[in-house]
Amino acid sequence: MALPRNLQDTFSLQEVQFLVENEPIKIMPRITTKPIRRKAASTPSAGSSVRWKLITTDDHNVNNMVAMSSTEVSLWLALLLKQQGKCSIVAPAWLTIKQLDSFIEFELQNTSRFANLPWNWLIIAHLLFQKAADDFRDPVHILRAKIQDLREARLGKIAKGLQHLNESHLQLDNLSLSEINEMRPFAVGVMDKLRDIHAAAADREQYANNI
Amino acid sequence: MDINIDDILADLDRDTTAVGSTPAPAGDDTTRLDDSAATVAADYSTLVTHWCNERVAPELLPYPHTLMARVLARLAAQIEHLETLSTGVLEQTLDRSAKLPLLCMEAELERLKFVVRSLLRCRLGKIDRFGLYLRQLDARSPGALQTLLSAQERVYYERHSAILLKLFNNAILRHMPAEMQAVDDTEGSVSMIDEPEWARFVFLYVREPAPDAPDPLLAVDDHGQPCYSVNIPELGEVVDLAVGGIYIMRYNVIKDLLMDGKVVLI
Repeated sequence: MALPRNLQDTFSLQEVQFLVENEPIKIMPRITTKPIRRKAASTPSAGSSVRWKLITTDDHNVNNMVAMSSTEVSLWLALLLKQQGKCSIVAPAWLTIKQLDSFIEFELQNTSRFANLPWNWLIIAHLLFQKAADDFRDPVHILRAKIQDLREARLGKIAKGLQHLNESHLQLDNLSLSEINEMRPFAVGVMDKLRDIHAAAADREQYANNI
Repeated sequence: MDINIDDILADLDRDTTAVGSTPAPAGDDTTRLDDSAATVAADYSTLVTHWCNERVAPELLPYPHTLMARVLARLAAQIEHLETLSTGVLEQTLDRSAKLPLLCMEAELERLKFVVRSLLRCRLGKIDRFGLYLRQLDARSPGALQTLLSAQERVYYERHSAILLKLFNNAILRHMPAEMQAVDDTEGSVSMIDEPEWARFVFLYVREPAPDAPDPLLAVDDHGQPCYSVNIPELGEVVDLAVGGIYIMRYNVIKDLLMDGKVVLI
């Protein structure tokens, strides 16, 4: 098979992370890539540096980085620059103790709805904790615990929501991509079965009516 | 606090460049870069969406001919660009700052290659699986495969099914009675041709329509939300798909919306 069996009809965790890494994020560069025109003649070394030419995103931002003034780049690029010590990542606004607390409260109070977190919150949080832990203002171990609480509250609700699986459709607003990916095999399997049972029952009814 | 000031500065910076570049192309290459970069980013995100759709959809989706041509051309150009750059860097042994863009550009190249490769592998897998179905499709409406497959995929499909059929013939079929030699018999109680599982459940996200082009299909549901109404014929049910919502639905119900790009599969 051209595509391994375990990748058919679903995504691997690495692929979900790959998708998330395409999202933009704010960084504080520690380097300057913006060409300085008036000094170009006097400092030839700066003028001869390589220009960035990107083929998947807008390269305007990376070509105009000025040290210590924030700009926005793709997450994968931010993580790469961070790894090289060329920037620090500005944590997203929702990834603070205060915001997470209010999300957790929402999750606990509403049993049938999910808080309006970004669609990639879990992966973003894990990636940033892992690779840019020193860029947070709040202590990372507390943030990590909050994320875990949030995840558990939502997991409980997802598990409870599975009883609503039916043969028609289901609405799952505000569920993140990684959570969808987790429940996909089970939910799709059950709903496919329910559909077949429903169709068989309808057939039987029709058959009985015809006699 | 300092972040705020920087943000304002950045905004100012952006504004001035925008103003400077719109009336007359003041910067020698900045406007040109901007122009091509916008489509570059859009192409990439379309490609990624296409990849996701292809991975989740039960059937083979039409091949994005023009998009892939652009992406592949860019890929080839970038590989060449990087090669000339890296030989230049090696010769001059430039300072370490020159290596950083190179590193990032190489990483990006690999990312784009991965998407393209994964998309094509997924399509090849489906071509393998639905070989007979594609043949039936081709017989029923000639020319359908031209849009569905790329030229290379068509060559692969033809040779793959020829080899497979030869194997079947040599191994089993020629030892069977003549009336049982068919591999694509649809007359009996069960069709021998594997069709895609049309009613498979898929996860989908309802996209917001472009603000400048209001969609005539959009209706308003009971809560005053814009939505698309779809009909599930098997159940005689009408379901409202609210914009921005995530649903699990049967594939055949939302197929038309998917082809129009109004929903994406996730």
